[in-house]
Amino acid sequence: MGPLIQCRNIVKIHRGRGIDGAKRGFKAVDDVSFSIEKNGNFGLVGESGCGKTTLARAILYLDPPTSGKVLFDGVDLGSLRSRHLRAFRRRMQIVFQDPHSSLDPRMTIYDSLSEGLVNIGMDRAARTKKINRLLDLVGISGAMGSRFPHEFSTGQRQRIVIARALTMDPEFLVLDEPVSNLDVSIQAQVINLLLDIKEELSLTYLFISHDINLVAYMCDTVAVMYKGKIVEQEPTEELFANPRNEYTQTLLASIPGGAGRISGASTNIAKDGTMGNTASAVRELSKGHVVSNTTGRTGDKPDLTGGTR
Amino acid sequence: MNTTEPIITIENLRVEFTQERQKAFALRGIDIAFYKDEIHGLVGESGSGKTVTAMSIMGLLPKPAATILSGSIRYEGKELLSLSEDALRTYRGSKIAMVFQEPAKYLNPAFTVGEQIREMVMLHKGLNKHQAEMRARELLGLVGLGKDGRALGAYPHELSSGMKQRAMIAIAISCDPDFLIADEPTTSLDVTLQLQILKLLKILKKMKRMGMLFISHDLSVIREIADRVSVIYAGKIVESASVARLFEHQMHPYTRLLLLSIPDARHRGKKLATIAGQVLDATNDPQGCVFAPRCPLAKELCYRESPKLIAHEQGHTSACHFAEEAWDL
Repeated sequence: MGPLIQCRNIVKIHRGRGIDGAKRGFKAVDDVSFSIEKNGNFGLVGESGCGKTTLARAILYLDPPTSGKVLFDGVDLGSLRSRHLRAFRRRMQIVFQDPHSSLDPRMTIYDSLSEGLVNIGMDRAARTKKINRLLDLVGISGAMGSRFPHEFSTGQRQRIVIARALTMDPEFLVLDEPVSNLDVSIQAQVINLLLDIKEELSLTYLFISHDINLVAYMCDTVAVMYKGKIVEQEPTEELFANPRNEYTQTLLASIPGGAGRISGASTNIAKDGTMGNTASAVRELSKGHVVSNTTGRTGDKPDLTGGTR
Repeated sequence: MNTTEPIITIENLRVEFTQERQKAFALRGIDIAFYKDEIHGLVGESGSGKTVTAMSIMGLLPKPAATILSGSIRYEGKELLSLSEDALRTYRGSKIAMVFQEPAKYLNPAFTVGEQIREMVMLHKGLNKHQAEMRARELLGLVGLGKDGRALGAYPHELSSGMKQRAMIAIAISCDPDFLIADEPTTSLDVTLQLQILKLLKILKKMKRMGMLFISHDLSVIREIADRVSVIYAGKIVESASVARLFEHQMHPYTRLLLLSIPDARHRGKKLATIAGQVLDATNDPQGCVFAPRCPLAKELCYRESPKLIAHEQGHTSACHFAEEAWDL
């Protein structure tokens, strides 16, 4: 099977206001290339502010990349006119992190799900049938379609958002931290659901998360992103068994209960009373985006203290 | 385990919230004891009563919405619940301090970090301005913000989220409390930062010989930092044991399922265990076990009778009728 998504040298520069911002801009995504196989489950992991979401939005052409190409099924999205791009949009969908803000509170679930279908001119009977089938797929009774988002729990809402993403029969689904807002016991339900529907509808996933454990569980290929660049990309087993990049190693070591156990760190306080790994000087990359300037105690390991929240 | 007297003992604490004439049972009778020099992890899902427990100890429950129905909280033998607001103030901050989840929300944006530490020590310890200044420097050094003294004069917005959390910790420990409550202190931080903060808390506990209540929804974080763990579900402690013991042997089905539902790279391709259904609604007051509606092992007895938190070997307590039985989930 060939690749469904190919990204070639994607760069995204955010131009802020002010003299400096407008002139230099902030490179949120820096020369990223990768491809996702059909039916693949590609994981993108990194800390907040490293450009994961920006990259996802660039791939979907929601925020077109500053330079570089995105090929969907061999077609360069950048070369399409907006009308044709819209046809392609049908084939790729996104699920956001926060189901509270991604559902319109004034629309019933049925209305939220039927919007896209109305747009393509599907008649009411067919719409109802389809929506009921999708809601059933994500484990929500079709009879609940007339309810409003606030009547559902967070886990149910995320299921509804997933059902909505599926209304246009997409081939490619971007999952941007889909379970980060959910409790552990609910998280497992949604993860199982995502894996089931992937199998059933033979979807291709781009799974974004800050949780390397979760990504490793879900995905067959993992790319680690740091400061806008993909620093390492490997099949999951390989990445875990043999991380080559220093940042990946730091990340793996930081998993609670992972390699970087705390127990040994009892005498980390230096004589002057300062901790070893101190973050002192910060510099502001762009408005509200502060990054630590210091390197960690252990030499040149990256010391991420920045990022907006 | 500790054989000394606990610093803080909570007994049969019941807290109820009233909102729009609806009653919500936040805590349904909690027993827990905290010891000096021990990090006690409290783990549970959102709405399970973790923060309410912390706020009850601090005497910071919102009034009049919250009512303490029964129970007692004793600090070194003295009852905290019957203290007046003024008397409580001498404990809060100086003896018992707290670190919150979102440092940005709890730091005052209008004052520098230095001023906020000075305020604490001048109020509680009666230091003069100069002494307070020295103390603030010392504390910031301790939490790893002391290299150049920049943080001292910095406003919260000038600091990154990790630095803000360090500043919060500095304020919390400024009066050498005996007991520190850390309510999800690393939840809003990235993993590499999380590890740094966990290390810092562990070092501080050792240095100051504090007792600590560490609240988290994340079992793996708890495993990393705590000495003892209590699992809370729907306002009840369902299980409590030392970390080593709990992760090896669970005596409550909820804990077992919770552990099984954590995604792990080693179990790729296998289905995650799920806990069916929703968390018990707080307005419900079931006669039986709070977990029974979601428990795959629930029997008739579970719906009829609420299990008590019973001690088993090695200080392991569990609130399950069938704790001693070998079940397979």
